[in-house]
Amino acid sequence: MQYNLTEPSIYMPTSLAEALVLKERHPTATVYAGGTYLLWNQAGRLLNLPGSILSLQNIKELNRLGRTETRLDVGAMVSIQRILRAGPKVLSPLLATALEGICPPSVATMATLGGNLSVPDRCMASFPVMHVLDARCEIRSSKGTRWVPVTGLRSPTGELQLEPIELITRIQIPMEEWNFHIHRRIGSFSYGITADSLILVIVGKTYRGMLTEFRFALGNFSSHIYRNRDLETLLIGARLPLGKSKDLKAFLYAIQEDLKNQKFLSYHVQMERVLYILQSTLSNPFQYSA
Amino acid sequence: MVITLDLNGKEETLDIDPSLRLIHLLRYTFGLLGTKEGCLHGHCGYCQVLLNDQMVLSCLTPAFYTHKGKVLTIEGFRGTPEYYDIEKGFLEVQYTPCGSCASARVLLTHAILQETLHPTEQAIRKRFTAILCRCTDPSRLVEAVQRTAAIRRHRQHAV
Repeated sequence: MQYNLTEPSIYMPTSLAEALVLKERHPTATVYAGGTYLLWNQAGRLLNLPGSILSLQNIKELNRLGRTETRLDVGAMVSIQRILRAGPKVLSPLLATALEGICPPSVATMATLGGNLSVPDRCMASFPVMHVLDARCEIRSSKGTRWVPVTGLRSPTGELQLEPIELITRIQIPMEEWNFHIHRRIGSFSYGITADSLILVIVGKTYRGMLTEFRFALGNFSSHIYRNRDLETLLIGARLPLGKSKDLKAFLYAIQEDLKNQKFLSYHVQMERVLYILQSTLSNPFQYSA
Repeated sequence: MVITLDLNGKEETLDIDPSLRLIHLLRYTFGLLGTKEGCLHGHCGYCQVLLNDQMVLSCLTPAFYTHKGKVLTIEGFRGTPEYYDIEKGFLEVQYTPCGSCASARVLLTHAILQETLHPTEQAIRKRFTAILCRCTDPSRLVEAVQRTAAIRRHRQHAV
């Protein structure tokens, strides 16, 4: 590890307008939200900080949390713990499970959803669930505001689609009702992210025993996540439970081949686990009802 | 860089190295040794303190982050009525955490009881997974927190 020997420049704006001006003046400054990813696993007496830091902790506009009938509005600096504290009246069971799975409780008081989505080199734990739920991010710069779906936050090659002068300021999560949902962490998570860490999110809607909507995403903490909308539509209209139907077998085979082609999973055991969870969910989705 | 913070109810202004961790600021600059240094990786949870009424890992918090913030350590918490509730609750069920994790457990109990005075067993167990110390029986911990909650409820009604 290379240590930064000069004292870092730290900017601590107290309003969003000030933060946007500072970001324009110092586009290379690293945005500091909860700091959990930046400081994780740093041993030693002194922290190895980037040369220039824009710390957002004193900005009240980014600490707002609100809910309407159709969506949850989360300020980029709202901690995961604070969102979880909103309780079941505000959070859907899927979102609560997913947020609990983002980080351990000790870190949840510091980690923020905005920070989790803005990690430049990895799609962190919140990405698959935000992807599946079609969440949107409000991105602001001194030049204006734009809304981007989480699916569009990264390019096909995995780069974060944020201009150097832009900040994620708010995340809007639609509060749809799903008839069944699954959020599974596969592999090791005890001490941070390892090569076998994997997150699987499955949601679905049914109407009179028929599958009307189905989405699933896989995240392995690499630069992109796995989601194939074409394959998601294969089972639409099928009557549930699928049991051991040919449709389900064909669907699982298609996913297996697609995952192999994309080389998304590192281990065979991960593939087996993912296919098993998909199969057991679709065989009898009502055991996972929301 | 110069920061200003409210440390245990007292305003402090000091010039710090921005790369300094909060735990080292507390222990070595202010001599507040009640906050214990553990793994420095954010795993053990011994070093937790309250920053703006939220439990934070002081090993993963840079000192500059406390600028204009309110930090409460076990030294500042000791002597308050809330501390005596916890002390009484812990003693009544003979729950005695070890020297390494005691300060974090006391502050975490306070943080939980600030959120609700009726914490469920599941919520207590989940929150206390933030402290990786096997010195005490988890079932007794649940009993201790719930007993403290009852004492605090009783005190607040009495007031």
